[in-house]
Amino acid sequence: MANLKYSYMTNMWGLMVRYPVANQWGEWYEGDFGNSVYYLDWDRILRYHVGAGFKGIELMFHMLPYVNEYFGSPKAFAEFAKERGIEQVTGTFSLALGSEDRANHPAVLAMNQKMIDFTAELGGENINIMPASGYFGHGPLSKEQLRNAADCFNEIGRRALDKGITACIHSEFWCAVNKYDLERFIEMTDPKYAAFVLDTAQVSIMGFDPVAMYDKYHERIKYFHLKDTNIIDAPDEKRFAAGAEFNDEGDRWFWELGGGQVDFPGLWKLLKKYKHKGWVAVETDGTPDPLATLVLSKAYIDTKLAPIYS
Amino acid sequence: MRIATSLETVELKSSGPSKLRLLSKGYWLEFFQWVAAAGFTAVELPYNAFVNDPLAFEIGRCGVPISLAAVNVKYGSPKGLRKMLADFGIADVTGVHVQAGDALAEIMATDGDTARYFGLLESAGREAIGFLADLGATDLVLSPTPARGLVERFFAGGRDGWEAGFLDLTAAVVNKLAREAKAKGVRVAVRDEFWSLLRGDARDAFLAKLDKDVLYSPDLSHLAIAGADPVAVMKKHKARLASVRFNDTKFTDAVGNWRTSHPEIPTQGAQRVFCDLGDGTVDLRGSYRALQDAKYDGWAVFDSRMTLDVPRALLRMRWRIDHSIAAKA
Repeated sequence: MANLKYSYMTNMWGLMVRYPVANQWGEWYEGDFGNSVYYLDWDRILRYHVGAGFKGIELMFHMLPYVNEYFGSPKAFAEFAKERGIEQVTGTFSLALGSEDRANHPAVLAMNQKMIDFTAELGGENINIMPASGYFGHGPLSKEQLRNAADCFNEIGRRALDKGITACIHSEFWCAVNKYDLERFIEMTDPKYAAFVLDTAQVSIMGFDPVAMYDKYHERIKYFHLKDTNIIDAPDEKRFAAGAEFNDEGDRWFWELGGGQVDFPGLWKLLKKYKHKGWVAVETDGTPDPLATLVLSKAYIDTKLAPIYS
Repeated sequence: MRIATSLETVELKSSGPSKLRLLSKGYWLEFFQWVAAAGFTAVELPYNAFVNDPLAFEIGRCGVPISLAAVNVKYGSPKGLRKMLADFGIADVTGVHVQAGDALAEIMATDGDTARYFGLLESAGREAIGFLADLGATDLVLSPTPARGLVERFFAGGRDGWEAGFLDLTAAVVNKLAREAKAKGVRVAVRDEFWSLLRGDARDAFLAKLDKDVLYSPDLSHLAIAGADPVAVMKKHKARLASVRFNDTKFTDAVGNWRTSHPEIPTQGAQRVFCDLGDGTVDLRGSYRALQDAKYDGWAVFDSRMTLDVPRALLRMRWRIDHSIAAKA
């Protein structure tokens, strides 16, 4: 049995996949004759994942109301996915915007409690959380603000653990917890309640070496968001700009595995060394073609990485 | 009559190739080039003042000119946006479109306290009025109720006749906003989507509750889906028209989708609610002539909602306006 199982974060398809099932192909194709019809429904998109060999998926925080509205419940969505070959909705992504201010903690905790419950009902294992506000307008954080954010994360993590879910710090390159205080933040949080998800592109853009980071923090790193990038150690003014995630020129931050400069073979050697087991996720938001990126990423895993460790 | 197009031709929320690029300023800089190249010199903007609804948060933070905060961050100021549009060849902004459903989405995303609803609607409208005044635009188009299915879920409370009370409170907010708007050179117009509480006869009753200078912004495809004759409706309200929305549909609401909480994204039966302008069955040419006959001198705002191909839709809209809808007989 394989040590690693592959999940895929579904945020690259758009903010909201429009339909559970697109009932009539002709409605969308006839007259338009384009390829958009292939991107309109969960039925097809889930089957692409399975066809490419990804048996897990992750959902964004904005899927919570969608799932309840269109599927009735998280459990019903998980069943819908299972019928199409998805073994598990492995986890979700959430935010702790404003956690650097204690006055915001009740609202941040309430929002994340909803996400914890949502993740549990989906059958997920992980919840990856941006730990504070965006840098623009909020950073840099003072030591006290960092402490506030860490305390908030610990409480979210404690609540998550109550439901059997691992809360993981997700380090956006545009977050107020950034290059100069990310490691301090990791140390300020309680290892019992706050794991770290190694997002290989996000940390590379901030100037960290993801392989060295895994070597250093392998006991805290319980999960992975694998994505590639060609922008290593981006200057502060790019990362700290307003709306930095979608920059004004439309440049692409994130690439399919093998499309950038991240040393994935080096990471895989460490996965083998530390005997990592379980789900690992690919996340490639911002690709112009989710279907191509999905397949290219899996081909890279199968041909370049699996021979090292699988 | 003056012709414009709406940014609502771009469907921001749903999935597709390159969809996340729509959230970047870079996309909109290119979009405005397409708009001008297609011969449109005026645009209507969508407006969402809220940030806690997850989709509103994602849309409002990176370059979509959808709120004062978004415009200030990415375009400097409303005046900065206006200057940039002018540089692209887009001389006018007709106004903004505010949807009451966004206020309810904000509540659903936060504390669930529906007692805050009318206050949020009022504050969103007030923010939009200020934005319009800064922008030098005149029309605040307001979709005054969320989808009927959602309103029923959150406000009916199992009571018969709940609609009247809800609409009375809505009318009070609209009138209050209209009075504030007038002082800033802005006018308010209401719209009756096929899923709205204003559907059918309720439209006229609601308009009767409003101050006389609150206008009516018909949306042709919504009227058609609701089973109304857009030409007849516009003739009836010809003295009160503003920002008339020209768009198209061939959708038949065979399963009573208008009653649901997600009427524009049906799950049963036919699902393509809107189509590119000219591909449907709405009497666009007849509607245009009705406005000409009424000597309507306001904005006719054209869109192709939920199109799968935005630049293609813009070019085809222009061709259809010139060669059919507004062509001389």
